[in-house]
Amino acid sequence: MQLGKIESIWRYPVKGMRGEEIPHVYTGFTGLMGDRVYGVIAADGLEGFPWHTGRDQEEFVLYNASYQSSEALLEPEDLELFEGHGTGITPIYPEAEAFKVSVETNEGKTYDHIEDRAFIADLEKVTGRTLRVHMTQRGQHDCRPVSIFSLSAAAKLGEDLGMHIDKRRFRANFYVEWDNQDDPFFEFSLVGKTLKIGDRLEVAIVERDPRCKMITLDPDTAEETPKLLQHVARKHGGDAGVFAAVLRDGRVNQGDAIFLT
Amino acid sequence: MNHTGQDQSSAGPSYHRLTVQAVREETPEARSFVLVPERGDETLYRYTAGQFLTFRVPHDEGELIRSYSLSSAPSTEPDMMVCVKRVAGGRGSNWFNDHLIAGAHIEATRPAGRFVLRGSDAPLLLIAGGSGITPCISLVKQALVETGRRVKLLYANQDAASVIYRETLDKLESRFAGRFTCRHWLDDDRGFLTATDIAETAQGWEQADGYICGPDPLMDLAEKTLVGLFDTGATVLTERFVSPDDPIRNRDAEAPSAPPSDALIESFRLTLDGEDHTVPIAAGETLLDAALAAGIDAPCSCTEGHCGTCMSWLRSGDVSMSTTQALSKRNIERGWILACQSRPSTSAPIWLDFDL
Repeated sequence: MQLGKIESIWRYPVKGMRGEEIPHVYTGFTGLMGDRVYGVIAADGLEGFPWHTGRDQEEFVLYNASYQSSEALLEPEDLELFEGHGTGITPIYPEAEAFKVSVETNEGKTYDHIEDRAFIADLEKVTGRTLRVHMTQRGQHDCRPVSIFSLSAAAKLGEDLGMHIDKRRFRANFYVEWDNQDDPFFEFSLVGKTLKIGDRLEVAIVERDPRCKMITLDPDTAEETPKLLQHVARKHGGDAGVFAAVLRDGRVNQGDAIFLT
Repeated sequence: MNHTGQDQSSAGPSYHRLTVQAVREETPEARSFVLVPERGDETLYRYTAGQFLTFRVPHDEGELIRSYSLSSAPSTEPDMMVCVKRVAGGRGSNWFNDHLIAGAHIEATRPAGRFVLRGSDAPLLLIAGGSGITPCISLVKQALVETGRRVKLLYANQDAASVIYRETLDKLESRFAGRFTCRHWLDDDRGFLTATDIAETAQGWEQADGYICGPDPLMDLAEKTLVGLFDTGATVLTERFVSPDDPIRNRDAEAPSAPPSDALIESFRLTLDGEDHTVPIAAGETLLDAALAAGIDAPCSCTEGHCGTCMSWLRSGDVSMSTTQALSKRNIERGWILACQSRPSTSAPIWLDFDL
């Protein structure tokens, strides 16, 4: 049964920075290719959550992170050959060099590569923290490798609060449009179910997405609106969107249909 | 900006037992305590120079929570060391000096704090007052041994007898001649430091990383002066001694804490959904707990200071926070607090606004 479709696909080259919308992407067991490949770790961060993000420096969500070889990072070469061996065969990702990501700060300063020493030195100067960049092609997610959020949920939250709620506040990988028009938070009802997206990808919806201060930040201004998180806490148990685990890897395209299996 | 201890896990701060390996008298009023973790806990106590520990003090009048900076440095001492200066009426600092002996045990959280070296080549200009030397000397040692950075310290005390770590500072000056200078300032001889004195010390160091720790008046003056003098983009970090559950723990001006049975205020004003509430609050209770107990649907989620859901605007009054982990520097400057971590810290009337 078709439930809806993929409205847009987003990945975040650097955890906490602005994401990029992409037309399609290979989604493996560790998430979308190129998603949260880099993160900035603070020496004084919590042991279980050492990341420097907009929680610590609001303007961090305005930093633009762009892969220099974005096209090459949409799917592994020879993907079909790997898929031919069946589910569970992990295709070879491009070399680390292909994952070079350039950064532009909210003040317009640019760095060719996030791993350039100047980037961290300047960020340390701005934040007063001791920081380092950490990179792994497997992605660095808070909870689960794939996050899903509906446009209807964003619209309803905006309606409740009397303000426009930009979907990008929720930093999801897949923004979706549900066919169900009765329940704006339809994704909550899918926890425990398995979805097929497009021709091949299968995901299990494993849990609701518990939210924190990050959704209070306007993705264009970094101004905070605590009222949004307060509303989500009081009306939806603090959750917005759902997390998924990948059961069968595959390519996802913008506009792909979503089916209940 | 108050600096507070941070939780280390979602279950709140966890304390581990430390053994006092040695106690050293630094001045008639200040002692250093060398601390070693239990076997197996060593990795929990890896720290960065400039950080602090938060202790659970088994005081006769009830448990106290106190934070003290590490004066040791990972590069120069094998064990952790804090230095605690006795303060008139200071229950935590006096307990340390009166009761904590070699061989005794005390519980502490893991090291925390952001008053640490940045990864840069900029020289360091530090301004310390009294026991504010503790995190500063840690930074000085680490910078001198681990980097090639130049370091200058302006260290203010009331008199010569009050100077903590005098011998160590002299040795560092000798060993790192050309890279490290320490300018001692004694109030009894020259009066309190002025902005002019600080500016004179900072002359030629406008591109340095600034670090300030000491009594509030000195810190306010030094911070204002350095920020005005330093080049755009230069960093000035401050360390103020405010710790969980007790806002009056400035080591140089520590005042007696209110005993748990004495509430500083009996109620506070809370605004939510356009309605004003008068919320009764008991001694030691957080603003959030008091609101929930009063039947108010105050926004909250983790209640441990991590998620930020109970971020609210402190329109008036004073609070201390056990952790500010979910708050940025900008949040704090704008007056946001975490209701789940906030307790009244003075008798000033509190007005908490969730509607902003």
